[in-house]
Formats: sequence, C-alpha cells, structure tokens
Amino acid sequence: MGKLFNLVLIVLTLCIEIAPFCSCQNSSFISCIEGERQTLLTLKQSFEDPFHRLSSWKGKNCCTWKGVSCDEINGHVVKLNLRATSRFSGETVLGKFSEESSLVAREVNSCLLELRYLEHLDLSGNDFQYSAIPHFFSLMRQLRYLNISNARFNGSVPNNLGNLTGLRVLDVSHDQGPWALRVDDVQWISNLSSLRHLGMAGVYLGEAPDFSPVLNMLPSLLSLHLSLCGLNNSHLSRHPINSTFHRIRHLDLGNNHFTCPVPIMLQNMTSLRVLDLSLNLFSCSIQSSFDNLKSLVHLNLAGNDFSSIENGLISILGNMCYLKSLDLSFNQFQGEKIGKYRNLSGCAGHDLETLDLGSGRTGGQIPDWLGIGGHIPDWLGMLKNLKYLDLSGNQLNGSIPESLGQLSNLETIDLSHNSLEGAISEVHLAALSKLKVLSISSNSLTITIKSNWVPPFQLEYIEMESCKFGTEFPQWLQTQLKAITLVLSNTSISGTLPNWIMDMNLYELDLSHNQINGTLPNFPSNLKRVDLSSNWISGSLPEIIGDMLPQLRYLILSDNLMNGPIPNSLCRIKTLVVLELSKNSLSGNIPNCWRDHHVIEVLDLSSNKLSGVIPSSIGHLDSLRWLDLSNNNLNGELPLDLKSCTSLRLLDVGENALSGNVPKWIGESFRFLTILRLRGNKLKGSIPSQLCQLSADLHILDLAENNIKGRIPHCFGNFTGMVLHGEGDIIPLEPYKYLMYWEDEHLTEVMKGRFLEYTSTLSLLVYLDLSRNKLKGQIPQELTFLTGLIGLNLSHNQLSGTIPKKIGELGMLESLDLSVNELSGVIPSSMSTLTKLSHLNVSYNNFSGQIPNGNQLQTLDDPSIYAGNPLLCGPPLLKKCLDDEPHQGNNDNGRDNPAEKMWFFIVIMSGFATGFWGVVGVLIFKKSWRHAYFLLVDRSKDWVLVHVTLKIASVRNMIKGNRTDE
Amino acid sequence: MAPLSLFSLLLSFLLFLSPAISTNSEGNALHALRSRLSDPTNVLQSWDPTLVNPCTWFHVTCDSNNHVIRLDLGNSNISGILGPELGQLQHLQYLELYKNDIRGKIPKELGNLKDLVGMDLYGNKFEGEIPKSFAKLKSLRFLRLNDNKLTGSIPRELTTLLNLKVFDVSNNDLCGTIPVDGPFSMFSLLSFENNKHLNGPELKGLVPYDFGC
Repeated sequence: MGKLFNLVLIVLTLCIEIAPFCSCQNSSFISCIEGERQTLLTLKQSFEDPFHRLSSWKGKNCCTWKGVSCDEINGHVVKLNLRATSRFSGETVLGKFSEESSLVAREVNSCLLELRYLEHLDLSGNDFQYSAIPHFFSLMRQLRYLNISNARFNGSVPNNLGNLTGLRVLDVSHDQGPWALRVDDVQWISNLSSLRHLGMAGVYLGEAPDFSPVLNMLPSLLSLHLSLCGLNNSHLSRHPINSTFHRIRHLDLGNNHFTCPVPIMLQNMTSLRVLDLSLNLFSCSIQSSFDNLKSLVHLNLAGNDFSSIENGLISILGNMCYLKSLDLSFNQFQGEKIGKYRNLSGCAGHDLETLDLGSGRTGGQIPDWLGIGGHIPDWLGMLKNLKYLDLSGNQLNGSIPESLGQLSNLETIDLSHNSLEGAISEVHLAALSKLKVLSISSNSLTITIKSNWVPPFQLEYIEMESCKFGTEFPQWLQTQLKAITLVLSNTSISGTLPNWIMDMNLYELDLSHNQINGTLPNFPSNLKRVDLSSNWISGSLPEIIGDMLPQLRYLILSDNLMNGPIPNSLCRIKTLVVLELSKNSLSGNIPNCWRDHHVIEVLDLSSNKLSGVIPSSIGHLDSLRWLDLSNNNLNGELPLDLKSCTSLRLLDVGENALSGNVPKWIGESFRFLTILRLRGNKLKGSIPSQLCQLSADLHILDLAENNIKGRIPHCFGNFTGMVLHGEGDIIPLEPYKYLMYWEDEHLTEVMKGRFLEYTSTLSLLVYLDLSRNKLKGQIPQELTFLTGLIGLNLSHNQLSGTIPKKIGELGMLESLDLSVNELSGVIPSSMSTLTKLSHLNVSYNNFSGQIPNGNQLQTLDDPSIYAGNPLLCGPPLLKKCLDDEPHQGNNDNGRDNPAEKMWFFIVIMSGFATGFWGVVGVLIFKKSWRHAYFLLVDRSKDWVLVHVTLKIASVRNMIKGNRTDE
Repeated sequence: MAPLSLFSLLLSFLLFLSPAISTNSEGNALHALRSRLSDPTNVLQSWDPTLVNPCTWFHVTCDSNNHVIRLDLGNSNISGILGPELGQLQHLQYLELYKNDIRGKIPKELGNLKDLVGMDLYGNKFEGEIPKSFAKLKSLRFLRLNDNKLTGSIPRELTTLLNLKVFDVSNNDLCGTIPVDGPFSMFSLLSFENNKHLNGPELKGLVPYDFGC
C-alpha cells in the first residue's frame, strides 16, 4: 500500500516539475519545422510499435502528433513524451499483473540530438532491449527533464550526464531485473545543482562512496528515490548541512541494507513528508528515532525487524499530526504495540487513511499483539478518515468491535488469519459504503447477515474462508456485481448454487469444502480459477466447459459426486495450469487431445472410474509436474511418450491394471522426480538398474503389489534424496519450495500396516515399498544408507538371507515390514536403536535366536509381529531362550545384559574355585596342616559349647531372679 | 424414495461426522502438546493442525478408526512441559516420551488413558509426585519412570494394577517404603535403587508406608 502512495507522490512531484513546460501544450496552431519532422519520423522508424502508439505520427504538422509539443513562438519541438502507459493492471490472489504498451528498439536513436531545443524527454517504460544508456544524452545541454526509468537499459549510468547542469528532473530508476544498471562514481551528480527530483531506484550504488557529500551539493532537491540500491549505513554516514536537508520532502530508501541506529542524517530531515524505509534491517525500537519528523504524511517501515514502539502506536499518531498513512506491517514487534487509548490527544490520527499492521499469514509471536489482551481496540473506530486497515495475521482474539463499522471511508479491511470470534452482522457493515476489499478469512467468525440484506457497498474482493454461514448460498452476494474474487471455502454453505453466479464478473471462485449439491452451474466466462472441491456436486461435466471458460487456469472439482466422461473441450483451454478432477466417478477414456501449447502443470484424475490406456498425447505436456492417474481402471503399458514430460515431480499410476515391464526409461528421463508410485498394477519383469538413475530428489518409491521378479538392485543405496544430511535433521525441503501446489496434493501409502492418505505432510515422507512382488535374493546392505527412510516395506516377497546388520542406522524409521519372506538368522541387535519405530512386522520368516530388547523394541510387545518364526525366543514371545541359544539381545538399561551375566558367573565361579581348592586342596595334600586344622575345629567346637551352656544357665538364673522380685 | 435417500444421506453424514469430531479433538490435544514443547530438531514439523486427523503426523499412530493409539517421541531432543490435554487421547495405548528434556509435573490427567499399555517417561526431568490417578490405568503393563527427579512416596493405589509387569522408578528422589502387594511382589529391587529416601520393602503395620517422607 505504501508503494502506491509513493507512486502517487512521484507522479505529483513530476507534475509539479512539468508544470513550467506546459505552457506549450496547445500547439496545434503552430506548424513544426520540417527538419525536426524528419527527425521524428527517423525516430519513429527506429521503433517497433506493436500497440500503434505512434499511429498519429503522420502528416505535416508534427506539433500535433501525440506526445510531441512545440514552442509556441518558434515552433521547435521542446517536449517529447513517449512514456509507455500501462494498458492493464490489477491484483488478484493469482498475483499482480500489468501489461505496458511499450515501444521497442535495439537502442536509442541518436537522431534525438537534432532536436536542439528539446527540454523535456520522457522515454520511460519502453523497451530498449538492455542496451547501454547512450552517451549522447550529455550533449543535449538544453534538457531540463530526463526520464529514462524502467526502459530496459543495461550497464553503467554514464558519468557525463553530469554535463546536463540544467536538469531539474533525472530519473534512471530501474525495476526490471536486479541491478541491471549501476553507478560506481556519484561525484558527477553533484554538478546537477538545479536538481529537484532524482530517481535511481533499483540502480546498484553499493560500490559507490558515501552519498551525503553529493546530497550537500544539491540545494534544490525535493525528492530522492534510492530504493533497492544496495545501500547501507556507510552511504549516509556524514552529518547533513542543515540548509540542504531541511528541504527534502520525499525520501525513499526502501529495500536496502540499513540497520539501527537510524542514520542521524535521516533523524534530522524535519521537512520530510514521505519517508520509506521498508524492507531494511532495522531491529531497534521505532519511537525515538523518528521523533523529529513531525511533518510526515506517509511513513513506511514495513518489512523490518523493528522490535517495539515504546509508548505504542498512539504515541506516533500523537506526534505526527499530518500522518495519512502508516505501514508497520511485517515487523517483529514484541509486547505492547498500539498502546491503550486514553484520549486521542491533540491531533492523533485525525488524518490517518492507511493503517497497516498486518503480518499476512505468518502471524505475530505474541497473542496480546495490541497490548490489550489481543483484542482489536475500540478506538480504531475513531480514526474517521481511515480507508485502509490491515490487522491480518496477528493472533488477535475477541470479537470485532462494532465501532469499526463506523469507519464510513473504509475501502479495505483485512482481519484475516487471526483468532477472532463472534458474529458478523449487518451492523458491522451497514455504514461501510465505500468498502471494496473485505478479507476476514481464517478466524472463528459466524456470519449472521440476513439473506435479503442489500449491502451499501460494491465489493471487488471478498474473502471469507472458514467463516460460518451455515445457510444456503448467501443471496446478498447477488448485488456484488463488481466482485472479481469470491472465496467462501469451508463456510458450511449448503444447497445448490444460484444461477446468478453467472452474472458476476468473477476471476476467482473458491467454494471448496462446503455441502453444495446439485449440478455444476454456468460459470462467468472471465473465470481464471474455480475451486469447488469437497462438495456434493453431481452430474457430469458440461461437454463445452472448455469453450465456456476460455481463460481458465485452475479447475479444481475433486472430491465430489460427478460422473460421465472428461470432455475433450478441456484440451481447448490453452491457459489451463491445474486440472484436478480426482475422487469422483468419472468414466470413459482420458482425453487424447493434448498439444504442445498446453501449460498444464498439475493433472490429477485419480480415484475415478477411467478406463482405456494412458493417452500418448500426455507426452506433449512438457510443463507437467504432477501426474496422478492412480486408482482407476487404466490398462496397457506406460506410453513411451511420457518420456517427454521431463519436468515431472510426481508420477502416480498406482492401482490400475497396467501391464508390461517396469520401463527402463523412467530412470533416464525424470531428473526431478520426487515420487514414483506404480503400486497395484500387473507390471512384470525385474527392477531395471536404470531406475537408480532417478533424480537425487526421489523421496518415495512404491513398486508394491506387482509381479516384479529378480533381486533388489544394490544401487538403490544411491537414492540420495532418501539420505539424511546431518544428525537429527529431516530431509531438506529445498526441492519443494518451487513446487507451489505441493500442499494441496495427496498420496496414499501403506504406513504402519494401513493405508494412510498423506496431504500436507507428504513433502516430509521418505518411503520405499517393494512389498507383494516376487523378489528374491538378499536385502542389499546398501539399503541401510537410506537414513532418511520413514517407512520400509519389503514384505510378501521371497527374500532370503539376513537382515542387514546396520539396520539400526535407519534412525528415522517408523514403520518396518519384512514379514512373509524367507529371511533367516538372528534379528540384529542394532534394531533396538530404532527409537522412532512404532510399527514392526517380521512374522513368517525363519528368524532364530533371541529377540533383541531395548528402548523402543520393548514397547512393541505384540507377539504376533514375531509369529511364524519357530526358532525365535525371548520376550514378548512366551518361548524362553536356552542358554546356548544364539542371541544378540541388548538392553540399554543394562539389567539383563547376557554378556554381563556370563562374566558375573565366570568371576564368581573362578573365585569360588580359588577359595575352595585353596583350602581343601592343601588339606588333602599336607598331613600336618590337616591335623592342625581339624584340631582347631575340635577346640573351637568345645569352646562354643561351653560358652553356650554357661550363657543359657545365667539367663535362666536371671529369669528366676526376676520372678522372685515380683 | 426421496425421504429415504435424504435419511440415508443424513445418516452417512452423521457417521462421517462422528469420528471426525472425536479424532479432531485428539489432533487438538496433540497440537496443544506441541505448543508446550520446544523442538530444536524439528521432529514435530509434520504436526499440521489443519489436517482432519493427526494420523499422518510423524510419531503418531492411529487405529483403523483414526484414533491415536501410539505417541512415539522417545529420544527426540524435545523439552518443555506436559499439559492436561494429553488426557484427551482416550484411546492411547503407548505413551513414549523417554530420554528427552521434559520438565514439570506428570499431569494427573494421564490417569484417564484407560487403554494405556505402556508409559515410558524415563530419562527426563519430571518432578513432583507420581500421580495417584495412575491407579485407574487398568491395562497398564509397562510403567518406566526411572531417571527423573520425582519426589514423594510410591502411591499404594498402584498395587491394584494387576497387569503391571514392568515398573521402574530407580534414580529418582522418592521416599517412604516399597510396596509389596499385588504386582509389586514380583519387581526386582533394582527397579527402586538410587532413591535416597526410599527405605526398603514395606513392613506392614510396623512402619507407615510414607516413613521418612
């Protein structure tokens, strides 16, 4: 939003600059000079003009040509305005879009030099195809206005522009591509002493020296644009000379690398009206740094790491009496931010039109965002001029105060992604006659608006996801004919869709996750995105759907009750990017009419009743990233043409009736494949070793339930996408950042013994399933390299040999199934180090010896997971292990460690042997010792007997004595 | 026909709804747990609260009705405290939180987990007493609380847990005497060692069981 204001201000500033030249506007009565006419025609020749902007450049009087202005007296061309205007621009959820009607030329034609009286030259927005800024501009000494911004120039800004000492406006800003233009020496700028406006946004100045001495030489400067220039504090390190900086009105330093403390120079620019410091690295408190800037009208501090506002928002509003827009969005505020309203002292907030405290969807850290228990403060309703209010993503709770409904100038309100609750009724909205953007998604709000209500506004953007309507489709929306976005997903809407939806001018319609029934309605033909997934829509897809929606990009109708065929007309939508029709009852063949021009990235037809073969024309879809045809009745082989879909991230053709071998070309073709799922077909042959060439991103390989024979290739250990990097990490997610639809996708895998449908967590799953085939031979040791595996299923094959000793290295493993094979030997003790294991099955093999014990294995105490292995023993089986039973058991607690026990007994026995035979042996072999020993024993016996007898007698006497005492 | 189909629709809707509601509460309980824990190695990254049920979350296992039956977070480098919400996992059979850095008291609400078979809280920094409510865990077979900072006496109520096979409270700071009734007649003294104020087997009628506490 702040950017918009900047734009407005730039335009305003430019208009002020232009004003002196505008006296020549009415030049139709002056006829132009023939030489200059020829020059203009040469210039026209040098341009490609796809939008016919220069169509008026014909005839004698060049002064009447569009964009040309002549001097009233002498008829010379003094002004040439060839600025490319924006033909169309807008913003939806799908992103910003704008198209400009540019003139195109390989370079600026030097014939311009012949226009010797030219004072004003504007070539902005045209396309000079990244040529250099011409040096000859420096010869046009008479220029007072030069605007070559955003005109696709490349290289260094020529120093000799410093010769144009008469310039009042110089704009070389560049927002196309990062730093295509650069300035290494800024000294020449100080020659331009008349400069009032300097625009260098997007021009790299990072290597340039301190900028402040240059600024000191520009006493007339009013407006300075240095956003995205690679600047940091060292570029504004000197103190200002007061006279200069007290004049600057507009300063844009956004998108640079400035840090706290805020440069002193900025703090003293007391004349500033507009200050943009957004997207820098400030991380201190806002308050004191900007205390002097009392004249500010627009302040943009968004996208920094500002930590606090000492006395809350209200203190800023109280200090800056003229403030119209304040953007504090996307900062890192902790604790109190807005401050309690006591009284809106003096001027506070009277002019405020824009207040942006949003954090999008990321959410603030502290629930009591506003310092008042996380509620939206009532006093916001007193900012009467507010047009734009964004409080999104701040974990706000409580209800929406009715006072917000009094903000009759409000055009945009965004309260989405909070924890607001309560009801929204007509009261909240009745006075908002200018409202255009209403975004209250992702709260716990209930909508109690009566169906027949006539709203006072015409909304353009309606986003009410997860608000509870609990009714049929709200009738009052029928009045919103200007709406281009309507998002009502997960709002408990039921019943059929009204026909009047067709009369809306929607680009985007999202009604997913409701209980809408009936057949598909007629859609408005402008639609670019339709999402009706997870409803109860029945009937078939209209045969001409492709002709009805020629601009469609997203068609998402998954999880409904639709039947009938997939119409061929879908092939005629050239703009289609996402087509999801899964989880319906669609039948017939998959259309075979795909051509090269298609841009489809996601094609999900899974879980329908489609039959026939996979059409070869799918090979034309070379931007396809996600192909899910699983759970249908498709037959035949995987078509070779699929090889051309080299961008595929997911290929899922599982649960069909496909036949033939596992194709060798799969491994060679798909360099980016993350998920390959061929489960549940009739594939035969062996696993081709070429499969190991699959991309380094492969996370899921599922070949289960086929007729695949042979061995598991040793090279499966090469799947680096399944290897953990660093301890305790999860598999890095970088590959997915670029897959924008990942979170909306789904995949079913057998984990922990049951089918689980993975959705948002799919991107984290690492899984290898070769179960229910006819695989033979050993389990390759190399599988233990795949340390990121979360599930490993090799069950129901004919695998023999032992479990790899290092199985314990698969530390992320949650589910391990080796059941029903011919595996033998002991279960390796390293198994007990699998602390994440929650599902284990080794039943029906030939394992022997003791079951290892320890941390997690002792919690898997269901004996059935070891059943069918007659030679296994130890808990949790009832069969006890004999001592000579081979065992590798291990107990972390050290309580029952058999090795330790063994040593214990050995030591005891040896001790006993030494002691016993040391005495007895000597007695046997030495007669004199024997005699002495037995003599000692006899004497001791006598001594003990005598003493005991004496003691007994004395005790008796004592007892007798006691009795006589009584 | 129409009323019938309407009825069946309603019925299927209700059937669809009932497990969804109950499992979602389990997801909420786990999410609440997550919010109390610090998780430097991101083992809880997959715990997406927006999912209908937590069954595809890692370290969580559900039964066929999508009820959570296992929570396996042993040796996971997590710290923080537990809250009462764990008591909402009505179908939980195994609670594995061993060898972490969890502090604070063991919530008494864990006693509501009537299906619990194994509870491993050993190797943490739990303090306070062993909740008496554990006496309600009639299915409990394994209870390992060793290597914590637990204090107080061993609740006599635990002698009613007839299925208890493994009980370990060694290396704590418990006091009083060791119960001898019920399953406690079988436990080795090793299960009680290294408790400074734990004074050997109970001498019934002679010394109060919390002698020395």
